[in-house]
Amino acid sequence: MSRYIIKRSIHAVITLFVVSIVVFMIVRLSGDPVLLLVPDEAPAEDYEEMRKLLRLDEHITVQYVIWMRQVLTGDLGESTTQRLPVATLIIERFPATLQLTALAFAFTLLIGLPIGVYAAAHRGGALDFLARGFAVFGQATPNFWMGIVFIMIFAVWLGWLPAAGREGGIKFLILPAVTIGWFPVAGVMRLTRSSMLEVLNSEYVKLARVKGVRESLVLWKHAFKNAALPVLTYSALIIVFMVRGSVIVETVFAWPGVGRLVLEAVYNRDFPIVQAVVLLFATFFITANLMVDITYAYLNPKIRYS
Amino acid sequence: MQNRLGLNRLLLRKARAASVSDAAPMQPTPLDDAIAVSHKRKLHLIPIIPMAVVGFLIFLAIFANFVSPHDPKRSNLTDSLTPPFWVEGKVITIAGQDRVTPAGSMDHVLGTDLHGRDILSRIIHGTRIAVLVSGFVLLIATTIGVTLGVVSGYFGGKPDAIIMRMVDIFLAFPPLLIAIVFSVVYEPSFRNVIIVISAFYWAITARQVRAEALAIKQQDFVTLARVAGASNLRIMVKHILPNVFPTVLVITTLQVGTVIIFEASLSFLGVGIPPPNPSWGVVVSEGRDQLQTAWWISLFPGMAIVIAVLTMNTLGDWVRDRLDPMMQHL
Repeated sequence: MSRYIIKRSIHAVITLFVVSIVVFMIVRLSGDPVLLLVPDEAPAEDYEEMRKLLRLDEHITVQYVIWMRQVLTGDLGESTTQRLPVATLIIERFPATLQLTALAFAFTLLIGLPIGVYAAAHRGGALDFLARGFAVFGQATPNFWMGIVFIMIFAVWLGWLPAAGREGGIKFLILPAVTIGWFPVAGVMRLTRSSMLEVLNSEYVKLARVKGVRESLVLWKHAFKNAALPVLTYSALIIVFMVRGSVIVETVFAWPGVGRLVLEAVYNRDFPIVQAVVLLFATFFITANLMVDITYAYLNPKIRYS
Repeated sequence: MQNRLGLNRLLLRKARAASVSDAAPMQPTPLDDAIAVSHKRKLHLIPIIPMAVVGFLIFLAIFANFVSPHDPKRSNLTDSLTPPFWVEGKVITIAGQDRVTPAGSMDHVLGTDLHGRDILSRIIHGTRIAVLVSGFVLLIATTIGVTLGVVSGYFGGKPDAIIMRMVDIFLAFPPLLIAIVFSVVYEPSFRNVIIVISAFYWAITARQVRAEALAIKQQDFVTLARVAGASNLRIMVKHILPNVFPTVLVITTLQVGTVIIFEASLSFLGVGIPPPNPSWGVVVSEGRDQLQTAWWISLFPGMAIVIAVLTMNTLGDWVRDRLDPMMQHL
């Protein structure tokens, strides 16, 4: 087991390293940030001086090493347009994204798990049919359009909820959170349902039923506890999915989170912010994947030795 | 002699697919029962509808010029913000003055946008973009993915390790973010959208194909082919490739919908297909500022996306169930 963990961890680190290089390269290719900082009519010396100041005159590998060394010590550089440390900017925006993700995640589990269990217990029933229909639609609907439709219905038409922004309480959170959660709910539901069906078919559940254990107890205590395992590992990936999807949903709802920060930074060609956020998201994703893999390997020895 | 086991498997699948398609209520075999238990049969009749829809979408894509009632890019400000045909004009009061909002007409069935461009025509031409993008992406991604997947699975060892590490890396990128960054580096264009999206999809295909190739490689007919003196290339092309084909078909069909959503998302964010080209995502984003007054601009192209993706997913599910019941985890 420990060999497997070490092997997978090394892979993760290599992946992360390559990701960091690629991120660094792509961002460097995206145009000259100095041109945005120095006015057009400025003399050439100013331009050169700015290049030196940002250390853009060094060889690209040197720039990478400088950047990496800073990143490893927690210094994510300084935003070229806002003249503030990137770390500060991210920390400033992060709570907004976190709030959104947390609520969306809670929404996903609160809706997805019970419906999935119920659908499995009453296979072929009306709710099962509805749940599967919902899952099918959930997978076919793009995030951004779902958000817009929610705005049309609940903000414009019914006037119940605000359409955009963040100032003023939980009301502002509901639409974006539901929009982010929409797709994962479908996933959790399907996974819970199929996992429950599998468990409900097993011998020990049959035994419990034969012994006359109450159906709700069989469902929730005997079956659900085991069926929930794949769903739990899956939820690690859901969080990653949500954080990634935040770029789109934060754009739709003008939500001032990290996703919007990075999109704005891309438009302004603000290299350090883009680098930092992409690297952050990638690290997050790779770590989550590593954890899922290790959990699976722990649960299933077959994977460990393959 | 050649490839007997694999051939049998393929024939079996073909036979099963054929027998199902011409006689709808057939005797359930034990295999079908197994599928029904895990997946709930509802698919006997269904492929007719999605296939018709896909055919229709492809028809629209090819004949967009003839089918669409207007030029999707020509603006006509006198028609600005015309609602769909069933909406009647309303009297609204703006700054103390009574004004009548334009009424819908059959001239613009689904209404017009701010520039007076016909929404229906834009959606129809958007179909062309969606079909072309997903077609090209899957052609590129599948070609690369299958080649590398087969090589990786067949040879194992070093090449396998390198290719799979590459796959890991490509799958570790946050796709949307990288795509956004890319689109800013290289001006958004039709070609760049295809390149960016393909860069992510080949990895998914390669991983699946590799697993399949690994299993096939261990079967007797491959060993026999090798004993008979077939070269590596010949084994891969003649023996492994035909046998991974069903898997590839399933993956590809299931990917179409996600490619469409990916392209639409990029275009929505303004880093995909550049406006004024009527990608569905572009049209949805153009309606974003008019949600209060002109809901139809964003609503209808989004519906087009949902219909297209839903259709492809249904078809993908069906192909998967028909070709390979073992792959239902996909």
